[in-house]
Amino acid sequence: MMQMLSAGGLAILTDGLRSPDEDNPRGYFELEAVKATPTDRSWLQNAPGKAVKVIHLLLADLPAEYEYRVLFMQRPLDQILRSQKAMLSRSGRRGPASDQQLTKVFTRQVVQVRAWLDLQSNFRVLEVEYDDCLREPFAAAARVNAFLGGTLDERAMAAAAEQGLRRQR
Amino acid sequence: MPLPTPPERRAARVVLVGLDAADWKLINPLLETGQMPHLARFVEAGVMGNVASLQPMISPALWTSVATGKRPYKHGIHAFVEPDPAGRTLRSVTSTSRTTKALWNILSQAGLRSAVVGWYAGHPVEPIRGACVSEHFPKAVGGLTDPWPVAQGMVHPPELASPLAECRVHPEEIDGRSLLPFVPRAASIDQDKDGRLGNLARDLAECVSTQAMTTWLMERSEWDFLAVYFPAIDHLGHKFMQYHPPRMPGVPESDFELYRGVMAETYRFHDVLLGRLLELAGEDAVVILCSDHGFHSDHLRPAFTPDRSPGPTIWHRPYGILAMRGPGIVQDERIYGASLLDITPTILHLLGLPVGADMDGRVLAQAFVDPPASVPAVPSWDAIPGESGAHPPEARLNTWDSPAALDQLIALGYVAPRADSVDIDIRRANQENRYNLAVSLIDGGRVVEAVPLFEEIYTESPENSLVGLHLASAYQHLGRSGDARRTVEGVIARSQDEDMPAFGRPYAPEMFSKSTEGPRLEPHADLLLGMLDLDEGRPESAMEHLVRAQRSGNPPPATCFVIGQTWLRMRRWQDAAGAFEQALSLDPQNARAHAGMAEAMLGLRRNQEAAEHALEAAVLRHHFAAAHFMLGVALFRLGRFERAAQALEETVKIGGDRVPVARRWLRRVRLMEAKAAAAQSS
Repeated sequence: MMQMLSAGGLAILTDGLRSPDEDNPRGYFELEAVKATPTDRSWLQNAPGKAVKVIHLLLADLPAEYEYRVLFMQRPLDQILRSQKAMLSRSGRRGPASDQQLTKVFTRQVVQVRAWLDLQSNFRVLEVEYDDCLREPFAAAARVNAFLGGTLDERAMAAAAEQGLRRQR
Repeated sequence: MPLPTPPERRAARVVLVGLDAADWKLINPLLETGQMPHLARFVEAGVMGNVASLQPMISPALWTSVATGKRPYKHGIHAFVEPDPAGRTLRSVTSTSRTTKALWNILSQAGLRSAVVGWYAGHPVEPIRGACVSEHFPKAVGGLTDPWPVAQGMVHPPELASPLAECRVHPEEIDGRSLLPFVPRAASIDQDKDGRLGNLARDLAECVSTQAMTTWLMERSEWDFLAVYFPAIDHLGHKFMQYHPPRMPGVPESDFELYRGVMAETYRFHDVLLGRLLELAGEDAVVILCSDHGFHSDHLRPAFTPDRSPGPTIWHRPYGILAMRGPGIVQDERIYGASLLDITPTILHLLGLPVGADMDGRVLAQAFVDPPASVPAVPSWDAIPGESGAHPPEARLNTWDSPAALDQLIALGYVAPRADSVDIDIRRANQENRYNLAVSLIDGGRVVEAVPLFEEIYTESPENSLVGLHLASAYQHLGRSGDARRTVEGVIARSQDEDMPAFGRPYAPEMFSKSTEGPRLEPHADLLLGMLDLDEGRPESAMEHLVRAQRSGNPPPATCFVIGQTWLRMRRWQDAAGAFEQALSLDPQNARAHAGMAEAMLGLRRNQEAAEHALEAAVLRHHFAAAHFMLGVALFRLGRFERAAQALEETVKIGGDRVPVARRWLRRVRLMEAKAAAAQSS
């Protein structure tokens, strides 16, 4: 999704600290400062109008004085866990919890984050299926663009998604 | 699943008042001198007695047992704290961790309305039929002029949040005059240096808030069942019981004089609250007053508090209070053998509902003028679908897996690592949770299931002597002598490396001279080694260990009890009786010591005395298989076969490792009954 947004013309808030690697040869688009939001929110001053990648657990750390549009990415949990395991294993590490434990915890967390988002008047949310972006990139790009105000280049977004699909194959 | 024919509803309404840590030992002198007039009238109009607590004596677990009729390993609440769902920090234990229906869920499902105020481990509130107020709702945030919003999960239904918020009292609204009955010389205290008055004001404010919300609901809402929980006697006990007369060694005279009256006044204060609740409950309601455990207020007050489990709960006494009054309840009588586990079955029965066969408690039939001939039961209320107002399944998940899941996200670089101190706190809390579960399993006679938990914790923290000794004791109980000995010896070897007493630190270090010794590891290890020597057929070596344990100072009742147990195993009945007598002179209400004395008396063939002590043990703690077993054997020998059979059947019903031998004795009893019947007919 970060590739799609970038290709579509949306500015991405990233520090480039995490270099591309075997897991993500096209880069990570991450911002380290997001993790420290409760103690230092200064990065948000440069954030309006830009996209930033935030894991579900950190959404509640975002200060209430801003308006947010959230693209809530969905992907089957078994795929996520496989991918995480592969990333850890390539760096010579093992996860501390079993797949069963992780599935239970992450499923519950997502339910709770959704419930929390429902109560926040400054958050608007669009659920996006990861698989839909790959299967029907044009339709996905159109939905995302409509949600974000309709100023993005949908063809470029879809092309970025197709490139992602080719890599996955 | 069809419900059995429900019992006749005995009470129009039921009120359950929970006073954490209330204890007859402190109440009785106040009752006798007319200082608790409302409670005095209450007990004259109904029944009163001890209620046996459960191990470990951790209040959220105990109050959840009160509300479910189940032991902690069945209801899932084991500790004061748990990780938040994200695994980033710790929070107070929540109702979402409970794994079974509480009383108010069952009542909701049966179409009855409840009002539940401040129940421990009741946050976030559940959407039950009626009203529910979180235990965190009365807790002030910020100063008097700061906003005090109603956070999520505090009040159900939400429309009650506003009127109930008006009932809240901020600690700064408790003025100096209100504190004078507790601390008459409060004006002489420099509050910049001594925060104890502030603590007192905070607890009183929460207490007043809870009372105001409860009376509001009693007067303005419809309810069949009302439950309210007051924590102040326990909270203030942990802060002020050390100043209660007589003065404890090491407590400075000046502090003693300032704060000596706090605990008695706290009880008088609660008596006033009780008076108003009784008035509003009306004569048609059955009112039940109970505490989850007692609180040492006499010579048994500990001089030291361990810095790990059991921690401050070392102050808790294993008997709380129970009183009941209302239509159909016996008047001015004592009730015996009650357990915290009995409260939910009793309330279900009062309200005309079947109990759950999976509940560990029973209906307190002794309290009824017209005791039930039989108690209808369903296998489990959890298996009966319906609108119970419980949290949805996705919200009710064990959060102890959350820190491990977060560790995965940290390892992937998605989330910043936790601060080291938080990490340590979470790991320690996790251990504490598993330790409490293991102790609960031991308390329920499920030693085999407790062993892997103790093993896991001891492997993680081999410096934790207490867990090591628990593990060794469990091994010894299961006949795994070699494992037990290796574990005890390991504990001793490690303790010799440490400068500090293995069991803890002073509760208030500044109060004790440096020469005062804390509880020591050695007597406990010696006792275990003595028992192991016995198992392995070395009575002389066992004797040496026992003598050393006895010489290690004034042994507490628990130590005398283990010494007595060991003499029992050596079949030295007279020595055993001496040790149990010593335990009972220190603590006459020690059920285990009475049971031990009963066994010693059986060994000495003093069957009448054996029956008396066994009965006393069962009276003090009904769910105590050994007491019922001993009673059965003594009554058999006294030729009272029918009563013997009842006691042995009770042993089997409670379960545990006495069941096979109790069944054998039951067969003997039946045989003797048959012989007696045959002799009579011929």
